[in-house]
Amino acid sequence: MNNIASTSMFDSKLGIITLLSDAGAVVYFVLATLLLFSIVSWAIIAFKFGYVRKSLKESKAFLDYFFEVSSVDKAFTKSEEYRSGSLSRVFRSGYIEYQALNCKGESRHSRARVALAIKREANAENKRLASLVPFLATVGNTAPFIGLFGTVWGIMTSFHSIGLTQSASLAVVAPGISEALIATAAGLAAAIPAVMGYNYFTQKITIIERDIEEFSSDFLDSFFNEL
Amino acid sequence: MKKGQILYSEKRFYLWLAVAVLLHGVVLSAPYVLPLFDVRKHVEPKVVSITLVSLPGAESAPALVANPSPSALPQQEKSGQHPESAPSLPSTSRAARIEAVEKTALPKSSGKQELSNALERLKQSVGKAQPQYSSSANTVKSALAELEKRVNSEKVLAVEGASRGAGGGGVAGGNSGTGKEYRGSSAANAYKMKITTIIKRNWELANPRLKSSFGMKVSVRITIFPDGSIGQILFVKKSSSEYLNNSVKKALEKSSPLPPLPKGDGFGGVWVGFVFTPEGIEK
Repeated sequence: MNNIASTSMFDSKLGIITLLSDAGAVVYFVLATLLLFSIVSWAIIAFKFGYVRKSLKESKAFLDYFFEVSSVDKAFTKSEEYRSGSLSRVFRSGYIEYQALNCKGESRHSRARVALAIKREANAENKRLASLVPFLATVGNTAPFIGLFGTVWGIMTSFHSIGLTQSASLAVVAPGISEALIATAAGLAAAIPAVMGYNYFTQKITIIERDIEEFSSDFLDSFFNEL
Repeated sequence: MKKGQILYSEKRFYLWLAVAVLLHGVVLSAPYVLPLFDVRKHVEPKVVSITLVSLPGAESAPALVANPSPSALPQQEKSGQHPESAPSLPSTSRAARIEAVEKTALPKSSGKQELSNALERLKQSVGKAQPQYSSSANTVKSALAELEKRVNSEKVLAVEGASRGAGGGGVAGGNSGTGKEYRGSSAANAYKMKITTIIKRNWELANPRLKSSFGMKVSVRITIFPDGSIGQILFVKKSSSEYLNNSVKKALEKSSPLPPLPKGDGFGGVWVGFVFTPEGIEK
């Protein structure tokens, strides 16, 4: 902890590695945890961003086509192109169930069974969309506290060392505190993108869920020529 | 179909995970790597050893005497008086050694003449100091003996280096170590002497604490920018004594800014390594 330069010149130019060269085991553990959180958060953000964006885009394109054509068969054929779209998936699921019932010649309760298939797929789609997103919320909520814990621990040990040296000058106190604060900075650095990502995905997923809920009945009606 | 899609999704997620790991690695290493680009010219390291020997009660002697010598790792020995902070304690013999490992083009040939002059001056200064600090005569003698020993070894190395230098005179580039290059790096030598003197002067050690630091080494690497400011202090190897580590750090901080780097001779910003070794500390 003691190799931190006390002047601003050194503070500005020393690297993080140098700054942390003497940090304690607890601070290292905290930083490692936060680093892991940050890595996973960014991976989820990047992965989900592509997934949700594609789903929204393809759902919109499929809906446009669905309302353009009157035939569900054509819509099903077209839906092959929109396999990542949530709405097209729900539609495909209902259509497959509808065709299966037709092939078996079962007309009793067929509407209810197709509706059930659509609902099941809608639920599965919601789960798929929402998967991994809660982790972002967890990181957003806990990372600052984990960082704070590291800081408190670092300051605690720093003050202990200061007490042993029996000196309380700024040059003695500042480096330890400066190091300890890195944990808080790391916690915030992990939490901020996670919270932003969580809010973004929550909003987008809500839109998709609402669309699924809204258009499920239209899909069902289309199978029984009521559209 | 769904299983395949899940697998595809998993693969994509792992791909992003790998990308995130990579990006974090880049971001974290950036503060460490970026200063490397600040140093405009980074020459393959050559090793130079600068030894400072301070003797008790010889304050009037010159601060530094250079004694460069050629060897496989070109070494340069410099001896001079360390300003004794407590002349009222003549029994305290203090010899602190700083070995500087410089990552710039450095000379291979030696300044035997300079070392001889240094030795002469040292003897004179010790002679003057002897009546005042008679109790430290043994230490002075041992230090002189050590210096003479070094001079002799330097002579041998110089002969070897001269013959090697003659053979390698046709080597092009910045590390051939020919006589021409040595002349070219005279500014570097002067600069090294200057900064070593400054750092040495600012290296404050309290003897009671140093007793526990005896035999320890602190290896530090600093980046000196063209304006002389110290950009980065990296502890390559710390000693187990926090006091010694702190004293080295404080000495370097106190020495900043160093004199601006000399123009030419490959100086555009350099890394200099120092090995701080307190030796000969006696109570």
